[in-house]
Amino acid sequence: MDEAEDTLLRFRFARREPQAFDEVVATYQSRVTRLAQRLLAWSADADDVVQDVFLAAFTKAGSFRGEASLWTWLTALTLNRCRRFHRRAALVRRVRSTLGLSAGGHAPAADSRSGSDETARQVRSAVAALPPIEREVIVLYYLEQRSMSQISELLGVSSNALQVRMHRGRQKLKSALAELREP
Amino acid sequence: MNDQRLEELLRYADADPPAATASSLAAAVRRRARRRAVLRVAGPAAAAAAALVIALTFGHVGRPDRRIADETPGRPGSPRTLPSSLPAATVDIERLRAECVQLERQADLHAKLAASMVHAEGLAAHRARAASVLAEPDAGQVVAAQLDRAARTLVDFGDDLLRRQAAIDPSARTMAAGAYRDAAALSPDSPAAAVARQRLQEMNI
Repeated sequence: MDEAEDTLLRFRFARREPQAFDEVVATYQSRVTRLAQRLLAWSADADDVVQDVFLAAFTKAGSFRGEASLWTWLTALTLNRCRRFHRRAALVRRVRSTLGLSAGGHAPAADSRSGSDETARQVRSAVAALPPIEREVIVLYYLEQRSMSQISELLGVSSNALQVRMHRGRQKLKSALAELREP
Repeated sequence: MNDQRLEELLRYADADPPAATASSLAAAVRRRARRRAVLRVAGPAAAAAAALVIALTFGHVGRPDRRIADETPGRPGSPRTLPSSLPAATVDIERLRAECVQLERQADLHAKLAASMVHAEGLAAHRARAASVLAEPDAGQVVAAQLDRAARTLVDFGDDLLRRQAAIDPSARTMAAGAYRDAAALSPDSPAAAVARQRLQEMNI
């Protein structure tokens, strides 16, 4: 989809045209799914979050004025829904541990390479072990190719706070993946 | 480990993520939105119905049976014997069931009303946006301005003919009058047309 088509879709969606929502889902579903998978450290729970994201988009379409791009808006929604997912998962873990039940946790993704590729598994585990706020920065910067200023705007944090999160996340990853130094 | 190597590893791990399995996601999202809208209305209604059932049931059990008192009017001081509440409660439950059914119907109606209000809000917002667009200078206004400018040019042309040529060319006055008429006909409501009509009056044509 080129920029003009995207702009047209953005305004049609802002006008709440019924067909526009289906087109938004068809256009952005794979990108939102990919982002959610990355933010949830390739967890299989990403599908639920994706549905939540589009539900939020459907119900909040009236608040979308078409000023920002659809992808920026959907990225912000995905970040919020992933944070909510993390909070709920943490709450469930606390309740389960209080009740003495076995801890639940992330459902690992069905990875076609997981059996044969130890490197990918290690990297995913290291990313999954990061606190969510550090993982967001790492994912947006390294995998979504966003600039630091864009990330700062998306997350609503200052540049300094962002640098701190990035530094901590990077150090933790480097430490966890030290044995994978050379290919 | 440097940043480049870290990025390589991250991209390697991300290279083949599991495929998304959400088929017909838009339809699923619409279904969930509808369910939410119904629950938002039906939830409080069901809670109110439950509260009503509890209040009526316990209120009935806790209240002395007036029918007994009516049947024994000559013995006001006699101790009242409460009958078993079971038959009365059975009758009440039937009535309450009917009320619950009615409340459910009302909840459905509220859900439909909410959906139509959401739809109407969307339409109202759309109309408001359309009105704001119409309020801006549109193509019609631009054309009117162009016509006014053309009429003014014709008036200027007529004025020029009268001022320079009328003394030496007898047909100049006729041509100027023609220019004024064209200007008046081109855009009758424009200021230039008013000037053209004034010129024609001055010429006694």
